[in-house]
Amino acid sequence: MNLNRHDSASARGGGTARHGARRRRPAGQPPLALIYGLLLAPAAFLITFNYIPALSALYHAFTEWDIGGDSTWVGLANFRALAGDPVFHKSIVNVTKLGVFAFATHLTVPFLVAEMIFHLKSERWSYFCRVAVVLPMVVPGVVTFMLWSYMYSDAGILTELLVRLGLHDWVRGWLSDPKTALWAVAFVGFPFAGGFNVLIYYAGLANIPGSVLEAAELDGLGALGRIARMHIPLVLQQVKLLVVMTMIGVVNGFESIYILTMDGGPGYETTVPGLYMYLNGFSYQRMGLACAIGLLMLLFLLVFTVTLNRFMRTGDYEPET
Amino acid sequence: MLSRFPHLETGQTAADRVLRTALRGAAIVLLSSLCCVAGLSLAGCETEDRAASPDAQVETAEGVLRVDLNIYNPGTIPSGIGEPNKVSAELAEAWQAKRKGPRIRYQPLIQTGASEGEWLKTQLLGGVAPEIINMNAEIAWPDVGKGWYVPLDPFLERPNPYAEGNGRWIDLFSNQALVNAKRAPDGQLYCIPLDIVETGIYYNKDLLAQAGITEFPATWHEMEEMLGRFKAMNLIPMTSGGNLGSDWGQDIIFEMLYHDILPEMDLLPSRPDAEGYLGHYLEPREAGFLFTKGFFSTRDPRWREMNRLLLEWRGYWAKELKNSDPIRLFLTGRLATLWDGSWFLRRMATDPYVDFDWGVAYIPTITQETSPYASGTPATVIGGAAVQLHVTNSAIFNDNLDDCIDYLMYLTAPQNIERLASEALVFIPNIRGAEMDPRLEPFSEIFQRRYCAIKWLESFDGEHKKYWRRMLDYYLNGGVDLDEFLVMLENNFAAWVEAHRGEPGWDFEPLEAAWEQREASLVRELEPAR
Repeated sequence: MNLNRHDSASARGGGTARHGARRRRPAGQPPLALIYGLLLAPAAFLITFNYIPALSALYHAFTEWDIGGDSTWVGLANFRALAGDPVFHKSIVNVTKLGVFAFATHLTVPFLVAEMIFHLKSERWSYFCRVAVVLPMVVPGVVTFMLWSYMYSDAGILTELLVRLGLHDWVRGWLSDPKTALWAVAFVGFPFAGGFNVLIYYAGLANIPGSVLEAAELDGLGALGRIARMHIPLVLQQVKLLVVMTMIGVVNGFESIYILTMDGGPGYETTVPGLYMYLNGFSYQRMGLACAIGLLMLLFLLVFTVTLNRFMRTGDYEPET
Repeated sequence: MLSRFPHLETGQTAADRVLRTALRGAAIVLLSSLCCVAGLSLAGCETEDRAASPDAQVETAEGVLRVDLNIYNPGTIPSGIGEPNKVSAELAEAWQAKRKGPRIRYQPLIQTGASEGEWLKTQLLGGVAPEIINMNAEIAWPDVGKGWYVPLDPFLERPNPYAEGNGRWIDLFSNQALVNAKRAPDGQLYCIPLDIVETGIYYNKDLLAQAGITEFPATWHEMEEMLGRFKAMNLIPMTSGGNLGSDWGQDIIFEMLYHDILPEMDLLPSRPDAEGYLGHYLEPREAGFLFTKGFFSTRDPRWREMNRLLLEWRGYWAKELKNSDPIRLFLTGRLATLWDGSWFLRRMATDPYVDFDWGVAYIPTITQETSPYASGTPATVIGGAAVQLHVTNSAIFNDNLDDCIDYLMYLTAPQNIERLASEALVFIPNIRGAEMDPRLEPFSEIFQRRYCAIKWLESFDGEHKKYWRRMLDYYLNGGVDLDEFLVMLENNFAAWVEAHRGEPGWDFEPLEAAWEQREASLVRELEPAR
């Protein structure tokens, strides 16, 4: 077996084919001018609503700016302020903890679930399980967070269970107690077994050619051996994608915290950079500082993704010819 | 015979088909987008035209009057129980028939979840807010200079034609001091305080009896004893709706500890016409000035005591301050006492599933048994005006100010406000001659008490207010100890004073003169500076 990255030869081949298409337009294909013309409108929307705000934020990160007012160029003052801001530091610590927890749970549990589905003999059951893990995705995130908020309340299932078991001393304000608030937020979505991650892993596993699986079986590899020595290396592409997506979700996301603890409290125990950016921009009217936080988040994600791409080599299976 | 793969016969490649489909899709998206943009543009042009053309203005004035009556809006279910409100819609119809003027369209304000009211501010800025809106007068005050609200004094001097025998509309309001307390710093009144809200402690009589208590406690010490018994019974002894207990609590404890020295501390005289309500009230500037002299700092023993008592009290509250779902807990007998507003009365009074006896009491008096600083005076109240109706700049732009005033007069006629208040069963009418539902009587009695000396969180603003609120929760949940919390408060206070010092209305000079006369006695109340 040969685990290769897509070699450049096929890319070159593709390039040649495209080159040929450029020279002569097949009959029935619309003229290029029309194609580009039609692409112009989406491009205009994209530029107006995605790129211009992003570029504006880039500029305003170096200004002092209240919404509706004029901005004043302050150079690196916002970044210096953040460097000395204990709340920002705390938010980084919090997001790091959440990130570690998210990697530990969102990457492993879905893989195990995908493995179980993949090993099901019945196609019908496999299909049912796939639907079952995707079904919860139709529930809007806000509803999920509100449900969890209720579960953590004094009238919620968690407290009720402890009371029924006579464990009154264990009862606490899960989202109010500084010792538990961040972990209560992290646990939302338990047991982390549903959603896209399972499907992505499953797609990776389903993509492994049958001949490879048969060969492994003939070589006498047991189930665990197959998972450790064959499945995991062959789904590394999916792992990489999920690592990037999880990191983006952790760094940029704050909706759950905003709904569960409302302001990143108690104190700043659940404040993350995304929420701190929002609070600075819309509650404290310090839009320049908010842009600076946003820029730092963007830079971090860029560096992370580039580094990951550079050091985490993955490839699709390609049989030797 | 048709092939199973018709595309193979067209000579198109798979890529061609994908491209054509994508192009078709893109064309549909583009056309839809263009239609949307065109529609929005036309809508915008229409609004502009309407604002520009005098004829169109008349059309609007005669067309629709947009009104937000908050809890009285038709379709609203106060306290989340019972039939939706109908009376406001009936009143609107009756007024339209009488006036032959514009149609009333009730338009509830959009609450964006933040206290800044971003949606409303953008509407006011653009002159497109509903003509009549409800908001706390104090929130409107910073913006009255922008022309967003119409001063109502000239109209309040006119007779209300819908109230029999009324010579001046303003005389129709039963609590005159409360009305005058709503005057903006420029001395003008921008709102109609339609009714009164107050808080009280709803208590489960059955649980009190099980705890061996026959009467609701009269002193703080007794209350703590009662709450301790509930705790021993594995009940949640107390909590408040919307995590407001700590906010309300500090205002009430503050007054009971500072009561004896408040006359000395109140350096600025209040408006004579609001004396009965705000005679002893500390304005934000006074609080800021007193802070510079050492009050409300780590040197102030009463300040420490206030926060100590608050934490001690919190030990009996629900574990979750923000997510405790107190109504469910109280109705299911797991919570013994609930500190909430009169807006909760409707549920208690009308819910057929409430299967226990209940009553309404108020915060007991702090005595020397509890604190050496206790004045022994009854706890003050923190309620006041509930629905406060403002007329916005839209009434000017749409040339329907007279209609707005007429409708407000109509609503404040005793027979009309009585119908609104009786249906909602949440607030006490503030209009002479309007009968109150007898079930609201406990709140009416509570409201007769003295008003609190300051509303701390309302006195602060912006970041400083939010920081206090945040750190108060943190402190009450064990994040920091009392000493740390007092230092946090002190730093926050200092930053707040510095942010305002020198602003219009924040001149400390007149206060300095008053301070000099009282300095000797007031400084004795503080610990020496380190």
